[in-house]
Amino acid sequence: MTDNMPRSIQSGPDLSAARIARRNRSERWFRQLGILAIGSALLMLAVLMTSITSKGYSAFWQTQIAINVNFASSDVLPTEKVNFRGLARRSIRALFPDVKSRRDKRALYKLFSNGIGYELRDAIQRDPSLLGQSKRIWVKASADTDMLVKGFIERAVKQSDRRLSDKQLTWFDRLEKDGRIAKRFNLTFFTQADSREPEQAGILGALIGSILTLSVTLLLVFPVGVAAAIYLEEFAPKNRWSDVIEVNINNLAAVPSIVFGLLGLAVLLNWVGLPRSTPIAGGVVLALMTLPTIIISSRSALKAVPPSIREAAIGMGASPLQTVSHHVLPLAMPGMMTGAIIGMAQALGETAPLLMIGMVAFIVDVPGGFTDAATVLPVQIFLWADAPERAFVEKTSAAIMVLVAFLIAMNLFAILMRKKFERRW
Amino acid sequence: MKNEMNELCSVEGAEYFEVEDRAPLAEVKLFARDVGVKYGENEALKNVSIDFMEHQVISLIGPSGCGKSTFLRCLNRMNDTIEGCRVTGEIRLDGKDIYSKATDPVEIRARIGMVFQKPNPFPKSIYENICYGPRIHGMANSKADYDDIVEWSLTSAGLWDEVKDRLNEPGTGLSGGQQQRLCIARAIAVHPEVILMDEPCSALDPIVTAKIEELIDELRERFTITIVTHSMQQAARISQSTAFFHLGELVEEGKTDDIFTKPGDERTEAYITGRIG
Amino acid sequence: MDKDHIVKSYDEDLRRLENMIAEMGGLAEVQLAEAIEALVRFDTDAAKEIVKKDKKIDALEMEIDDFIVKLIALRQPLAEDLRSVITGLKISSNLERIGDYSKNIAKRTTTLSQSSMMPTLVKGPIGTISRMARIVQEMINNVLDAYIARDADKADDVRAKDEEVDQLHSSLFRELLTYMMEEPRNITPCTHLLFVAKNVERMGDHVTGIAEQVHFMVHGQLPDEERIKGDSTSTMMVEPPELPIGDASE
Repeated sequence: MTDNMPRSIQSGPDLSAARIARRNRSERWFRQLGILAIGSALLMLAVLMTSITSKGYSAFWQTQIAINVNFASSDVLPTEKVNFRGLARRSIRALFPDVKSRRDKRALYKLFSNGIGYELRDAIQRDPSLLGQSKRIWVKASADTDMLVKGFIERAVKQSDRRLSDKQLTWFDRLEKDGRIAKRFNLTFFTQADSREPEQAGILGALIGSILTLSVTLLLVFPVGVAAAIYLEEFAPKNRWSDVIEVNINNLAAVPSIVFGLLGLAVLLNWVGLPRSTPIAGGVVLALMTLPTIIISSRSALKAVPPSIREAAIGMGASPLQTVSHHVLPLAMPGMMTGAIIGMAQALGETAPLLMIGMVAFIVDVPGGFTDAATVLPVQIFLWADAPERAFVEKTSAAIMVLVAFLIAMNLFAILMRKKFERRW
Repeated sequence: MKNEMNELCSVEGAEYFEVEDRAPLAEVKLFARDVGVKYGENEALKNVSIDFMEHQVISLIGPSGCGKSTFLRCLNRMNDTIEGCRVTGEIRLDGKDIYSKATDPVEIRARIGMVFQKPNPFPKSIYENICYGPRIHGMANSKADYDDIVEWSLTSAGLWDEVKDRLNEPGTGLSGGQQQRLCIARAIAVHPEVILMDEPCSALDPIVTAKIEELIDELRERFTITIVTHSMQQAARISQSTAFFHLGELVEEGKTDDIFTKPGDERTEAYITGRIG
Repeated sequence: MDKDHIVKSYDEDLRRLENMIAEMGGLAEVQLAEAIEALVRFDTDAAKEIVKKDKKIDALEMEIDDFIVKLIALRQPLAEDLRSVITGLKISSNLERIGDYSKNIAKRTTTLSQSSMMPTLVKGPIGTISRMARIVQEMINNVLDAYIARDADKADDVRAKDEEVDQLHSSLFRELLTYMMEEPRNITPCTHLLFVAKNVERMGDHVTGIAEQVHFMVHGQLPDEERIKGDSTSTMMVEPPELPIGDASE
């Protein structure tokens, strides 16, 4: 064997310094390129997050104004019949005795949110002992006041270019000097549904809507997807038909999501007759959209189970179903769950198909069930981004922050689940 | 003397082996006639006919790709799981055709157990590994029954002393030799009649291999064992009969003593003495 | 087996074993020839040389045995390789005995040369012994050829040849007995010659043993037919001749 060794082998490897230096150089260059790529990706992510956070963090604080309210029993009971708005306005007027003209009064009221009447009613209902007392109540300021406090309104420009007139500014300064202005945590953002008034708008409705819609999606897609994956991977005979099915599933995963919206509109809404803009309709549409992804990821998880486990089970005399349910499925479950949660996270952020089935409506109530009209977080963001009021800008960014937090939470959950159920083989 | 005894016995397939005191009258447990295997167009095995005698160890030897593992997998219908694999010929266990439409492959695999080349314990506890077979075949009713089964199987496999304190630890946490013994214990827990072993020691060191060979010798009293092996020394040590396969055919089959001292076929001689690969 | 082993060094080892045995066999053959030569010429110096040279054969036997043990441990020979290696072991032991017999003959040559022997008396028997020795020499040659060529038929022929040696030995036995009975002064030299003849006959038997091993090596079993024993000396009785008339006892 050694006698006809080609000359090129006989001379041995070229270990010259020049060659090695060149190789090391390209190695280093590649590494730097990799670091550069990762760095720029992280940089862009940081820029994105910073810009959103910087615009949105202010939405978590809200300006409130303290007024003295006299809860005299005649004015306050019965709660259904009383004009709390009148009570509120009386309390405001009490602070500014010098404001006389109707126009001025209206301008004064504009410093406050126009829902403060409801706030007083809620206060009395929460704490009936207030009856007969005179108390200092913090009520919401209007969106314009809020913007002023947060520094978004320029005092220096001409009055006609401002949302608040000079007079309003003076009143405001007086309130401030009296110590009646404060910034409190914006609980409303998390406890109220959408509203036309920015200071009263919250994401609860959209949040509940998202949760309901995703529940429907999960309940539909996980069992069906897993069962389909198991059948295709373990039981189906491998012939031309199964190839055709596999190709089709892969293609479906790449279909633009808006197509599923059209499908939902045509079939679910028109033919089946599901109520439009409801979590059930949205859930079904998203389920159809996510199903191919779940099937593909579940099949990968099943393929990753080593065949030696299956052989061992079959060799023991286990039937195909016993093999799958006792051995393959438990081992593939972490991968399947991860795939499912990632699919859900994707579905959470989908807007286009839901727009098609009408979830773009303006919903002020928090949805109570699957057949109530609802909206979802991405759509809410879309609507707020479109709104003209300045106050909605920060709310849009805040809503985006909530959505991103939700996504991160879901992904963390996926990782935890995977770690918990992962079994080494 | 041998011929007279054979005449006296005159049962088909019965042979009197003078040397084996443990199994004085051996019967044919399993036999194959004209077995062939095709993968698509490729003929992997043809015209294989062998008798497997009860309580005997028969080893199948031959170069790589000669079809011995394929043949082994025919015996418990494991080839059913391979797409495009067609088995022809007749294989009968206690006289019953295992490939007939009426036979359930699950039943065959409960009666003919298998130990694989690479140890493959289930990713469950040692206790669960052993119990799995008895559980799916309805062999036990109470926890006490299962405990007995686990203890007997592990003791028979020579593993009890090493793992009796850690039955709830995962089976995959044992060393290679222990894992293989666990797989053997798992196979015997369902009390099969025949045990097929596909190169069980090829991944193990010589000491562990010796322990498993000793185990096989002891198991012979209860089971019929067929072992595929690459090591001729191993075949010579543990089997009573040896069958040599080459290029998909059964070249020669006979008593181990004869095959290794004076084989009949030239191809067998060439393989055994290391003259062909 | 014509084909080579895949591991070439295995073939080299087997070749080396064959060479060592051929060498040992050659030495044994030469020893026998020279011993007989020394006997015929009563050459005591040559005889002493032969005694010394036997050590070489002994040393070779130990070397071969050692080598075979290593071969078995390291190569684990099977089937024909195993049989040929075990045969080699037996051949070397047989050849060593043959060498010892030559040494014994040489020793007796020295003794015989000390006695005054009547040339005629001695010519006959020694001539027969020479003939026997020539046949045995040929047998050694042929059996070693058979071993190397793995020719069982040739080995069987060698085995058959031993009959001739045995017959010659039987007739020589009778002849020497007669000589001894005729003349008491003949007894000492004839007794020694008896032993010499016996040695050569035993050598023939050992070569026959080698031939049977070669047969086993090739066929896997010893030859079926019983060895033809042409040696009838164990049952031989020779009556003394009639006493001449005029015996003093009366």
